[in-house]
Amino acid sequence: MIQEGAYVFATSFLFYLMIYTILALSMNIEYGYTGVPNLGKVLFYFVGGIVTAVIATRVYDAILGIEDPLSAVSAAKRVDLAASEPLLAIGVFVASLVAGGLTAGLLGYLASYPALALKGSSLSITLLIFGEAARVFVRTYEPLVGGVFGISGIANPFVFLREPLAVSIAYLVTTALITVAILVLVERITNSPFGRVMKAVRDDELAAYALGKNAASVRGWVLFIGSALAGIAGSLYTFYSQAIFPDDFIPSLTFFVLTMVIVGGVANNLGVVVGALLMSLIERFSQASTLALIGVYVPFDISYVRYALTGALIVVFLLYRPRGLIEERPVKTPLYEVLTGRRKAQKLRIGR
Amino acid sequence: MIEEALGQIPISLLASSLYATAAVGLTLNYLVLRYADFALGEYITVGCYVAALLTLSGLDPITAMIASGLSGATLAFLADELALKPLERRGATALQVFIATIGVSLLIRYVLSIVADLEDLLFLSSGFRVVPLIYIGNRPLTNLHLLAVSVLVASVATLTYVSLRTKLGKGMRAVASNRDLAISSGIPVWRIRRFTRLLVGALAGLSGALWAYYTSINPESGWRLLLWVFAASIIGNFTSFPLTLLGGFVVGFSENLGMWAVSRTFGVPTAYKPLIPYIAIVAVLLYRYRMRFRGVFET
Repeated sequence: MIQEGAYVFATSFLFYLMIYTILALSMNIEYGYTGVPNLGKVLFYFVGGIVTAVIATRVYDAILGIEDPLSAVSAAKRVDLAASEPLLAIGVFVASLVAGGLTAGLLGYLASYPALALKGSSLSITLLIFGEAARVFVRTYEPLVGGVFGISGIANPFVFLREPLAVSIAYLVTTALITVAILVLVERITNSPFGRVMKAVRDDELAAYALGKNAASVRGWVLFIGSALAGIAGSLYTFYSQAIFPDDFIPSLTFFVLTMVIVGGVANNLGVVVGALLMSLIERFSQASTLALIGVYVPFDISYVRYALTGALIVVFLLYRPRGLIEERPVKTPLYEVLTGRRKAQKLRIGR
Repeated sequence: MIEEALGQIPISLLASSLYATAAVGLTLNYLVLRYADFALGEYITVGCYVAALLTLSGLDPITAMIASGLSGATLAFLADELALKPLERRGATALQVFIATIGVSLLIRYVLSIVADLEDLLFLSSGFRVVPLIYIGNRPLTNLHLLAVSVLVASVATLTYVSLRTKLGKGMRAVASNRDLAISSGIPVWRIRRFTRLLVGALAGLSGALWAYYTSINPESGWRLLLWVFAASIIGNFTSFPLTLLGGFVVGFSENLGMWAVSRTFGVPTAYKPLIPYIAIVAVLLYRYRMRFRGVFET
């Protein structure tokens, strides 16, 4: 019994850690590397979730001919179908992941248009307000994903394994693979000439323009990549929780992810992973259920402590360690490696 | 029909005055201190609580309101002195200062939440007695609506007087238009900064008091209002006071009178009410975006 509880605790901790890692990496591309403070992060995460919920429920409903998608019976029917048709379930999973990522990415690209007219704080506020607007709309407009009560019965792709532990471990491994792939991808992007341009846009936009780099288009691409990653995270989260509730997607999550970037290391992908780990630990140990395990009770809602701590960490780190725990490194493009003697020049295919 | 439309006017006026009062503070802060203060919502919340608690203990609403203005001012002042000014002295970028105000905001909001939870004050209604004066359409115009409008008028008048006639106000305008020139002309920039913070906090505290008199409050009241206040300031582009005032009225009227009209003509459910200000912002942004395409840069 205790062992089972420990498994549940460990799998959920690891899963959230990976979701936070993806979100923090996407925030780092935008805020850390390019200097676009995307406080609407939760919007793109939410969009990934909504697209997933829509695809995963509509496909099954069409096959089963379900009329009332919101009822618990239809939710159970959907999960049964997914359990008996593994290929369909995995197909839906892959399709939702791709569609969620692309939709969020395109929306992010659109969001770069206010980024042309607005800078810094007013841009981030606008994005935050858009996120809230989307949440208000989705929680009011019931036909989409069931309004304020959300929709359940979004079948996990591995539900055909039947055993709950096997399902969660299989899903955890899949998520881990995706997270590692994203980490590698982000590390490649940020250590490429494009990564250098991103930093140039952040540090001096005028200079970037003077050198012929279109800062507006760089921002658009960065918002596309960052938002697509957030969308994938939202998609993964929706399959994990097998339901979607609009009120889970509040701006506090964005601030939480922002803290990971600031604490871990601005413009350092490894640092951001460390930040995600640190904040996940803080989240776990500021939950009433976790504290009850070690026999600690507090006379108020413990989650307030987490948010207050988030705020305090932001201020303290900006004051005393603005570069974060692990500092920014130079961009490791091939030319940089040749100049620092880490790579032999003839291996470079430059000037062919 | 006309009666119903007229009935929406008092509440629109109240909301607009409240947003405009706080938004003027936000714009002032941005002009003089060069950062948008995210923690403004928390000064509003503190203003709410001070006004509600004082009126409940039997103080008259006007004195309670002044007290909440003072408490908002103190909090804004302390936030700047303890966190934001040291940050700027260490050479932080404008973006970092803005992010820090988010941190300050979270810290204040949730420390306040913890205290409110311990004291069992998570939901609170003030002791303000609303008295209907006359009826406009089918809704009453109450003393609260009059109070709200007069607070706005008084704040704007004070601000205008201060910035046009006093030395501190002139300094404020100098710092706003060219900080480096102001420093080299010997204007005491840091003293002006303190004075501005007091003004900003006081305006936020006053609008908080109005909100507390209008409805029940909780530690997140200010944060909810903040988005609307920001909407008003975004409409004013964070630089123009007349446009900020107009923004406050656009937001306040569109969310009440506008929502009523939309729901009446198109049958849109009133649950979409919070979306109306967002649409106003998008419209303004799109307009400004089109206007801007003549050049690439904007400062």
